[in-house]
Amino acid sequence: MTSPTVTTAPPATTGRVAVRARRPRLPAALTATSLLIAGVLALPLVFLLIEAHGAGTTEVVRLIFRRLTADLLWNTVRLTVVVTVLCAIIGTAAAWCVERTTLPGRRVWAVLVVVPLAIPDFVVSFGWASLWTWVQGFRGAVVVMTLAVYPLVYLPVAASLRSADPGQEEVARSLGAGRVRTFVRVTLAQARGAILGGCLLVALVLLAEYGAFEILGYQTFTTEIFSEFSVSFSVPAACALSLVLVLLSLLVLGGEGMLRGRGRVARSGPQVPRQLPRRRLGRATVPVLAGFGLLTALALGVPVGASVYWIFEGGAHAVSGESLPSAALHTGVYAAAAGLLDTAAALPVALLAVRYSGRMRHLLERSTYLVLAMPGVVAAFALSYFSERYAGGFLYQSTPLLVVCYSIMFFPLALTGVKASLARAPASLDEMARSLGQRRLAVLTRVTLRLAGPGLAAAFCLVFLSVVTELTATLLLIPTGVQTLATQFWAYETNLSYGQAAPFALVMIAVAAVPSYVLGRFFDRRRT
Amino acid sequence: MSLMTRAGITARRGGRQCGDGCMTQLSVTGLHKAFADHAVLTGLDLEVPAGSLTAILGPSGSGKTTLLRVLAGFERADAGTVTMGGRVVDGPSANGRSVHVPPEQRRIGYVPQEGSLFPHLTVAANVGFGLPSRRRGPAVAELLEAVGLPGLGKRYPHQLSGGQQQRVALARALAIQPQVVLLDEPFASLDAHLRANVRADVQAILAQSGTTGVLVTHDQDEALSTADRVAVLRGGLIAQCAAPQELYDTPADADIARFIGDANLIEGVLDEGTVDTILGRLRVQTSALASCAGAAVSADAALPTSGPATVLVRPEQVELHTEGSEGTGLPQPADSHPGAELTGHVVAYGYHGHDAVIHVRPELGPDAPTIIVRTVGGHQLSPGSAVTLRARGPVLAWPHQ
Repeated sequence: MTSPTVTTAPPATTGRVAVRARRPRLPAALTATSLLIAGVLALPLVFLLIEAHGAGTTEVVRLIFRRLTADLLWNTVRLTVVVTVLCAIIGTAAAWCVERTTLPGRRVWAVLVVVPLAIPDFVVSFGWASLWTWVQGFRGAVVVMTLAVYPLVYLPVAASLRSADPGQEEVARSLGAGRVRTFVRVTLAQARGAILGGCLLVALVLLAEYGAFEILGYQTFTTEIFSEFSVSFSVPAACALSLVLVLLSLLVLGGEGMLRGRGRVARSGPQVPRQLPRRRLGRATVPVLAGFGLLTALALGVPVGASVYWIFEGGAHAVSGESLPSAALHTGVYAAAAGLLDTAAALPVALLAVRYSGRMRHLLERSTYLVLAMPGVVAAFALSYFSERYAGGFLYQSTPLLVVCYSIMFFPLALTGVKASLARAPASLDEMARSLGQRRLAVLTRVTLRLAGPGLAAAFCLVFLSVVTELTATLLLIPTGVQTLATQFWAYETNLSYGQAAPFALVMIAVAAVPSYVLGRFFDRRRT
Repeated sequence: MSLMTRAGITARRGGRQCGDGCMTQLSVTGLHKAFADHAVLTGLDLEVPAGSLTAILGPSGSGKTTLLRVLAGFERADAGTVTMGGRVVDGPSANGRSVHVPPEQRRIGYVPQEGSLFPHLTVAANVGFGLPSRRRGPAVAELLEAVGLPGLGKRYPHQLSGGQQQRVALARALAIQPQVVLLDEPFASLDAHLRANVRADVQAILAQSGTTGVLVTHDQDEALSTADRVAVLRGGLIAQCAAPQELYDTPADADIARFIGDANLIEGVLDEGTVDTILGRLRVQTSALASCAGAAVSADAALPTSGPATVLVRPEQVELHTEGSEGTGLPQPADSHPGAELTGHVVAYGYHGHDAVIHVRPELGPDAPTIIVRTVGGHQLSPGSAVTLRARGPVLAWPHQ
């Protein structure tokens, strides 16, 4: 009988070879560097725990469970909830109008709506409070913070609406869902991750904000920690409140993670860059335009207008301080140093995160989460007190300590940018280059860094921008006798020398606007 | 053409390293590769003769790309040996030490599915990427000429069409005078018309330069029409390796038969060189199969010569008659052995221009399998039409174990 048959059993070789099941190996140098960076990131939290321990556990517990904590909790939580919700509504609505409707002048609005991000929150606060006395307390804080931070929701939502699969909306309509139903069940659902991400940033900013609330006379955990530490010198109280604040931030992070985890946006098929036809605004055009005009006037016009107004109307004050160029130089140097340090430090961690998987990567990503949960005041307080009390004054109030503190605070920003840029330099191109005979180092310089370059610049800009507008940690850690734009502004502002403070505000806005513009260009290029 | 000369040197060099009488450019034995707990390759053997184009054919997820990545050196084998041009590049070497030659020292030309051109470099810089800078100029011009894109060196990848990008990727791979070119579904992202053209061009360029090629694909049409040899990858092993026609005519088992082209797999009873089926008594074919691991695997004498079996009847082995017409099946060889007539009615009619594929339900009761028939030209048949089928042997049969 001649039925041709071939058995598919493994050849005889299988018996003799021991199979080494191997995970993709992490390069040792990369892992070691990343671990070191994660260690540095965790320092403030470790210091905080050491300090809390040093202050005495019973004392810390007593300080946590008292009336003041409850008041601060109520103040902080209600403001966070109200402002976050308002920002979600304004940011999402503005993003939808710009990205999905026939709004006249969309390109101009797209810029104007984002510019308030370059204005420090305490400058917005100064602009409003210096013009109108009713802007204070809870009411003032809601108005000021909403106008200052809604772009944090606008930006990710606009990006997500731009890249969302237009087919899903069309399918929903064809399946009989009306406009409203389609908007809620498809459009909003697609943007959900972006909205949540934006809200998370807003909530974290609110938990960490100091300057704006100080001007408005609104007491939160951050303002209280600041004054306990730098005015009353009560370290145990500052420690106790810091612990609660970190816990609160962790709750926000955890909540966002849980909400996000449930829904996932899947996209199948080829990624065709197709745009939905824009919704015609029709009779709604005038009211929507008026809305955008009002938003721009309030968020951009008031702070800038107030600064210009005070330059002319502020009159001469006898208060002296650092000159504008000198303060700007210090600000620039600190911001550039922190930007470089962060971009360099984020590179190995991002490489691990983008190119490898496994437990180590998870651990590293968690450690960056811890930084997000650590408001600047806590990081600065922990570093400053530790260097003074436990490290024998090593680096206390020195430039390196300040730069390291900035770098720790803004590391997550740099990491986001660097990760995005490495995604543009996929591993397949590295492999391609290696198969063409290039060694690892040549691959890095000839391919990876060339492709990731613009993204690395964006990460640098993001950190630079954040340092320029940072006030809280700067006030706590700045070397004696040195002023930055923010601290000099602050010194004048607290002396009510508005005329002298105003130029510093304008220069800060101008300095921060340049990297914002670069960032905008970078993220806009993704459209194509 | 000087590309041919240069690549010709490559081919000879490969042969020389291999030693006298050895024509194998690439050889894989006992290759294992697992990711975490998921075993992808489980002791795979493969021989690729110098100058040939061998296709690795398998459904998605069968480990084709993993195999290619191990060959290229991007992944390291868990066990087994990979030899190129007579040199062990992965696995235990002659003196027992574990060897892994990094990708940059293997001289393999890799052409991935997306082309993976460097987006920040011009076409010329892409092609010259693997060459020392002093040798780039003339070599790049030659290579672009060879792949039919002269004068496009100053463009950037995004200014090229998909087909052009694939040609540039091929030129870039050939620039380093590779021992082997690895093609990872390089035509999958092209549309049907373009695919046929680029495929033919790539085949011609590789043949002209005498470069050994390994083409990974899930498209059996592509594998059969492009490659000299086709290796079917299944369950982490090469299930069968043969020349395209041999693979189609004598698949090793029913699964492969179904995977390579349309197949009627019907039950039958073997009896001394013939098999009884619903299409009558058909002659059973004899063959010896060669495997890609080198050794010929002959028909297993120990298998039963009678009893129940699964029978392969290709759709073009079935003639179809309608009432009062001549047969419309493909012309049958004179020595074919027609079986009995089977009546049935058409359940589906698929017209393809050059031929038509007709699904016929035999009038033997509900359990009878639908028979697929391929006819040339012929008349339009609508579902429900009564037809008569007649199969012609020889056919393949696999006895039930």
